[in-house]
Amino acid sequence: MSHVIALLLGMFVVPGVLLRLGHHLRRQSLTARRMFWGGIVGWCGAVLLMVVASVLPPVLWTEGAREVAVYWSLLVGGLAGMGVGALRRPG
Amino acid sequence: MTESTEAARSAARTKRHRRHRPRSDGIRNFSRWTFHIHLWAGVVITVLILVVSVTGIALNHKRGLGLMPEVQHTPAAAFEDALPLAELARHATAAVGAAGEAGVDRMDVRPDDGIVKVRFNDREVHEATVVLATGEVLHVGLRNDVFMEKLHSGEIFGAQGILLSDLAAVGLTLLVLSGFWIWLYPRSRV
Repeated sequence: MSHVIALLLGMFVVPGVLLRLGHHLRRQSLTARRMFWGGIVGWCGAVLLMVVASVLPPVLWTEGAREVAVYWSLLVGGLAGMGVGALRRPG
Repeated sequence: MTESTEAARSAARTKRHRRHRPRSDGIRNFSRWTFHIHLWAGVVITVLILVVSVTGIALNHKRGLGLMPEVQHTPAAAFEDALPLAELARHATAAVGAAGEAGVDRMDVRPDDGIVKVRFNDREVHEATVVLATGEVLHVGLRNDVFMEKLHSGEIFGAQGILLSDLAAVGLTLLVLSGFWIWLYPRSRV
């Protein structure tokens, strides 16, 4: 059940939050802007990973790394990206 | 450039602008909503559309991609000489090993090729290709196109998973309709 919740959060909530963060981006604080771009990079990378893990190789995944990648990558990728963006110092 | 030419061009620009401008506040409000629907639907269903598209392409080319076992065979005996289905199923079950415990899902008889494809009910979906006349097992493999179909329909994520596929279809319809409206009234969203 936690797998499915993670998938739904990563699939719908994370892009929704990113879209909200991107609203009037130029007026946002530097941290918010870094979170936004970090989230975009992390989530897009996670989408690629999720799609590749789900179809390559084209055999059923029932457990193991592939299942974790399919269910969790979107949520973890998006949050990790936002976290890295928020923590990264200007330089 | 003469002043009259410039005035004519300006009038044409104004006319074009008026043609695209909505006539009422109602249309203007609707256009604003349409723009937001297009934006949010586009972002939120991205993953669904990607998965449905990739699996759809793979299913279209399932033979070329080797997603299903393909066995060429020329029949050596008449179809009337075929063994009974129960016996053919027994041969297939013995050949697939542990997957046979799940039971036979379906049998696809091909008289022209002299074979029967016996598909099993296990999660990986094994399939054995058996000669109709002799019961010889020609090939045992996985029906990965079934897995791809389940991923395409969302069924792989559980019984409620098909709702994801429905959501992708509804979202895509909304994107098409809202995109068409935005194309008709491009200046009305502000």
